[in-house]
Amino acid sequence: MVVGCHEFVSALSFVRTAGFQACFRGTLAVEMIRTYSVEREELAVKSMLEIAGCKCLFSTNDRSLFESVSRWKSHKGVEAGCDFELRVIVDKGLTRDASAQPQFRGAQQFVFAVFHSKESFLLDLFERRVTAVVSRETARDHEFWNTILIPIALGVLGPAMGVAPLHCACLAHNGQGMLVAGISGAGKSTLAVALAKEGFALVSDDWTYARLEQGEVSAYGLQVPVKLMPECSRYFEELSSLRPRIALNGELAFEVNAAETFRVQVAHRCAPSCVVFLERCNVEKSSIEALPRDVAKRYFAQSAELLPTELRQAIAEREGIIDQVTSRDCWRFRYRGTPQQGARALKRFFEERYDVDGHCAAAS
Amino acid sequence: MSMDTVLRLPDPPDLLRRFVETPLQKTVQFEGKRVLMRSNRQGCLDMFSSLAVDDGGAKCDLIWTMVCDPDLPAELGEASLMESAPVALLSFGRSCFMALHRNQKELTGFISSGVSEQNVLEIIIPRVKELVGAMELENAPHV
Repeated sequence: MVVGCHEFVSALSFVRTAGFQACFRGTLAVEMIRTYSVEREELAVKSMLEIAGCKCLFSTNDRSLFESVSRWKSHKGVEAGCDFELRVIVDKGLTRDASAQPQFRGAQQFVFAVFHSKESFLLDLFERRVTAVVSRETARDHEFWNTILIPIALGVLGPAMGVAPLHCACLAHNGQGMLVAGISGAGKSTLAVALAKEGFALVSDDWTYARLEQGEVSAYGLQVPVKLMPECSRYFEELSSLRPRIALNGELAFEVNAAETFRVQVAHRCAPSCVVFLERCNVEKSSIEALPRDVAKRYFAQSAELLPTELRQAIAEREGIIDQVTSRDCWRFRYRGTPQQGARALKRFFEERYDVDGHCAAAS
Repeated sequence: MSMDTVLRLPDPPDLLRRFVETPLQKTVQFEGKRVLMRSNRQGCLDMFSSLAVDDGGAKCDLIWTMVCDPDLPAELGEASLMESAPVALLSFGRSCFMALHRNQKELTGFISSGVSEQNVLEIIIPRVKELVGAMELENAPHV
């Protein structure tokens, strides 16, 4: 038996197909219920994934799903301990509505998600586990797993396993990382792409996942498509032949693979040396000035997802990581002109200020 | 404008409705269990407790919290039960879903305010009864 998937109706019972059992219990209403039992031994396809430095024990009953997430496969065996689990049942009898908007609700340690109208996901922050039932079509949808579900899982469960999702872009240059933060609409993604075209490796353009490794902050990206507003086609000719589409949050945007579209270098992790807060405003000329640390801390704290008090340990861990991140140099960057001009100004500053070993150069 | 003002964000919105208060409560006997029911709406509380017996007892075997949500679709979807010990997820599509944590003795979920009383009584409650009835009584939850 693949996974226990039964349909109950009432009073008499019969086996409908192998793996599907239906029974009737004698009421007039014809109520059907699909029942899934997620016992580990029934999810025979197992693998260890490594996502933003976290070990994820992944189990499913369908090999095609495993292929969809194979880019995260770790060399570590499934016997090793894990930071979180992803248990996914593929129900071949389930159909999906690809156009349906996803839905999310949260209560206590749980986050309930419904994708494609019928596919249920339960994310449990205490158990550090995602359990889901999906259709075969979704199992084979690489884009869904790699650009939607895995980032959401990490964003939701991250604080429970020592990962702080930070609302900022991240770039690396000569081995040193730079976080680029700013309120929505400030132009983080646009500047990140312009910096990548100036030779920085792009780690992430919107959400960066920070964790402490041997006492040092590591910043990870998930190599999801870069999201750029339609007006960015003015600055990047590579977008001129593409059409923006409706993103998951309802915005009209270009969502492109940066490496393929812009021929830029990408990286999955770096050690951040500084945090740059981008401010879009009309200024006479570009400027970079030191930003008080408490302002930086408050920005990251306020852009983080609200968590209930039951998760006080996760809240405290997240605050600890934010504290470490903002113990780096924090700068406010205002620029005038095109994103390319802004990127060149910031690159000059970064190269002058930080040597390749990441030490801060003498104050200027 | 000071930099403090520029980078100050509003408090994040409660997108997941995690912080909806559920101050209304009632203790009932439900499938042989003493259940403390909580909700944000009296109508929801009355509907779910209509098949139960009132019980003023202080102790309870299970805490059942249901948030009534006007933004969820009203039409019940196909019922499904997903067991992933110690948690079970009972859902009716996008309009009603709840998670039972057997160790914590807590049942927590959401229901659309548009779901009819008839559907609650004839479709949802029988499934909840099965779920709760099968729950073993060991450690009572902290109230």
